[in-house]
Amino acid sequence: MKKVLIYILLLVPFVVLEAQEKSDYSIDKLTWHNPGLKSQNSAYLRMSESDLSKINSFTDAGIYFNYEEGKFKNIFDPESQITGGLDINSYSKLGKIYIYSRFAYDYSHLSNSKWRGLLNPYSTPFMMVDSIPGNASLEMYHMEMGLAFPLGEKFTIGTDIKYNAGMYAKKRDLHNKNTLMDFEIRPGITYNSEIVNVGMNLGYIRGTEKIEYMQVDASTEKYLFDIYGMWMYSSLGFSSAENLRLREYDKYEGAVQFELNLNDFKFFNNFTVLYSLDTQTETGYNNLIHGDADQLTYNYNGTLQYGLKHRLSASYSASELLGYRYLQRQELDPASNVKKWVTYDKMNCYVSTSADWNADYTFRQAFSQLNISWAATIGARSTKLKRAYKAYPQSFTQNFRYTEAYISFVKYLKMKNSELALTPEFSYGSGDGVALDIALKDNTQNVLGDSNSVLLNEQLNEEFNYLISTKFSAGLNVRYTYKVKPSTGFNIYGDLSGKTFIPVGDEIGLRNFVRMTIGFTF
Amino acid sequence: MRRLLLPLFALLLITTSCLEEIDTKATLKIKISAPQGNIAVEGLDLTEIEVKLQNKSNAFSYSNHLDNNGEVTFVVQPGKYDVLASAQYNTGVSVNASKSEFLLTEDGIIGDDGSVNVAEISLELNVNIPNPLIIREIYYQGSSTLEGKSYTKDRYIEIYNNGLITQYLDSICVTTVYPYNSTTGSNSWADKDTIPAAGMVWMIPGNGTQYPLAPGESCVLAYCAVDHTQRATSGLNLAKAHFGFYEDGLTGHEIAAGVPPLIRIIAGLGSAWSFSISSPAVVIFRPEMGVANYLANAATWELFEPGKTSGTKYWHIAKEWILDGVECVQSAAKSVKRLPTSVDASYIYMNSASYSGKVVTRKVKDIINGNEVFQDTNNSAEDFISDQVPSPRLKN
Repeated sequence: MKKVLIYILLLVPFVVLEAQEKSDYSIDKLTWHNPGLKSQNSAYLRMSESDLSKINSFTDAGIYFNYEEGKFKNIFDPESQITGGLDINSYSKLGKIYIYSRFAYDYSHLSNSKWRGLLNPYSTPFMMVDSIPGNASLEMYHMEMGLAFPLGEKFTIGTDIKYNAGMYAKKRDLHNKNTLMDFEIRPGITYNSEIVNVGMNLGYIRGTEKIEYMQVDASTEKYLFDIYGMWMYSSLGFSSAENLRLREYDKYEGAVQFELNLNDFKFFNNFTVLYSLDTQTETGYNNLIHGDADQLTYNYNGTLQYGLKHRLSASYSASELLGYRYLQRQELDPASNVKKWVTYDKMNCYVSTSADWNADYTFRQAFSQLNISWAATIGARSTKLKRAYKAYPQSFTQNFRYTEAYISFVKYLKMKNSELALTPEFSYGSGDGVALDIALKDNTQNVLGDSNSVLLNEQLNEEFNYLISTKFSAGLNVRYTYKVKPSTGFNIYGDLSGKTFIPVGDEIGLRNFVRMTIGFTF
Repeated sequence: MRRLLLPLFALLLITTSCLEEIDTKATLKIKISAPQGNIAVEGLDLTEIEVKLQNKSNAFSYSNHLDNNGEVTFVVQPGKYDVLASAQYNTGVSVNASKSEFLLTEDGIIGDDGSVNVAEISLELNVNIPNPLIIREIYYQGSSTLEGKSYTKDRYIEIYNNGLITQYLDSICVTTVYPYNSTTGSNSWADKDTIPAAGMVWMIPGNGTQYPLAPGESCVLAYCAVDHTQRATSGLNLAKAHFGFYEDGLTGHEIAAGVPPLIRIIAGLGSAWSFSISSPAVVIFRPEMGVANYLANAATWELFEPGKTSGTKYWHIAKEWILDGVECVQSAAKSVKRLPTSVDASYIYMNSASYSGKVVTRKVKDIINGNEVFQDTNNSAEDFISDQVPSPRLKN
């Protein structure tokens, strides 16, 4: 499968077709003109017909270098991180078939990474992790191909296939190695008319993450923590018998799209439902289950455009996650004479509900689809989260809301065979909430001990304080594009950007980001 | 188009009804009764007995007192639990009862065969007449060398006279019992009348009246009875210990001049005493027939593991001979019981990491005639405090 995808990806960029305006294209301009391309329904690739009929294909390939550092960070973030990678995106048309393809790879070196037991620690409340910070490496691969096949004038079918792989390894005791593999497939269909386009797609995502810990220096005892959500934990000295975990997830997705085109008005809507089942077992063979997480997410994205100049975008996402632990006992299986874990109860021990929204307005001083002088965007976004660990009669709850306003501006300075784009951007955000509220539903019995014996208070507060912190950010992006061969649309660009996050009223330091990209489009 | 949308809406309906938050809880009724015909517990006020329910999968624990009928009900999260009940009365009598490692579900208690039984437990109290010789402090975790490496030579066990008259230490035996660690999956000797010693067994020398221990006095038995102040972060000078676990030829054991060595009466396996750094179950005992007769009767006391007729043989100790015992476990989740309820109804564990240089030490209950009287209900969860700084009462 990998070989086939790589072959196609290599083939696509060499489909060279001339187009007069091709050198003025960018991915951003393409998706502005075709908002359906941002959906997961690859049948919408056909909607880019008006562009691809002119340019036939558009490819953006870049190599980049990222560096970030600073003390203002989330608990899972390293002190600094260096990343190098490449990213190739391509839209093209071969005969009647519309194709989107992407290949990306990056390698990161992380300094003093800690508490990161999963590639994405927010994907499930259950995590096996150690506490000792250390340098780590992170490798990510991403391959994607979307195809759209017209079925007559009105209908189009399509399918999108993604394969992601990642490996994260901390290089200090306890050493860990996380190996992630994720496969996604989304078949879709659209019906299009002059005024209305409707579409729907289904999706199935299957992934595994294997987590393995090992100890190199045994002169001191190291500890592994079992986290159950909300930083509830138990810990044990490292043992080679309990250092493996397999996380598996299946996700089922359904989405509908509706697009209205009335003269200069273009209104695109996408509504998605995603149901996820996530389970962690020891190694998959002896029935030991460390926890299950079921998640249901509703997501809406809408884009309202008027002419070439005005665009209003909004999105809303609501999600509920329930975590379960199992009551199990190891028993001898008479058939195999091997001890296996037998399940006797399933406990709903964790619940989290979240809601995120974003709204922004963009004005472009556009003289045509491709000739833009400047653009400005103003927007706001918000996150609201409530999560709780429940051990009847107690519950440990955290809730917070974080809201951020942002503004950005881009000015295109056109020269004879080149263009300079300057993009300053700023944001300001603030949050509030309760880090930990311990409630008792039944006070007829005494609860012994304090929260320190069941949850990692220091880590909980460090994460919470970061998530709600009032912060200001300022960034600047400078992109220089040189049109090497305007007749074929072959451009080379260099991109340099920097951004700083500054906590307000706190002296813990900054977080700085620098990114350099060199790439070409054709 | 309508046909295509149908599966999507069906998916929507299914997923909408999938997630339902629930309070998973189980009800457990515990009934405790006093033994019939025991004069020491006639007219006992059962409401003074505190019942503790310890979840073994995490650190959650709950407590309540019995009602006048000797009953108490808990409503808690399902889980693997221990029940521990204890009280110490002004008469000096203490009582305890326990049940370890049972699965409590929403539907009931799970039996050994997987059957679901009514969530009700009936227990009979053990009545304990105070014993003067007790274990006051155990330092088993070890510390670090001044260079930061793990260090285990500075460990000790302290015996204390908690009574009102002088006791003689001569021929008191000391050992830990099997399994070495509480992290083992199961204990083959659970609920037996005899307990297997884990390897070596040591004895305090003497002719019967050579080593008196006055009320309020301590006797420190050191793993290596030497000065550790320049070696380890614990900073202990165990050259002032009363005895050392030492015999020529053993690896890793040291003793300073002037410190009498304990006598290794049972050789065990290996070339050093295996004193667990994570979870030893320590006992002091005196065989009722005398040590010499005990050792002479290997056919009775040296036995194979239950159900086996070959392999390692273990020297056994009758539970009635045990003067005191403390069940130190790794954690509530890793707490395989080795000592019977009559010796220790529960267990104690450290929250600090191994090699942290901390001890488990007994709580002071009273001061009588200027001497500290330590709590002794044969329930280490109540009698001991963990994670304390070592304070051995060494020789001057």
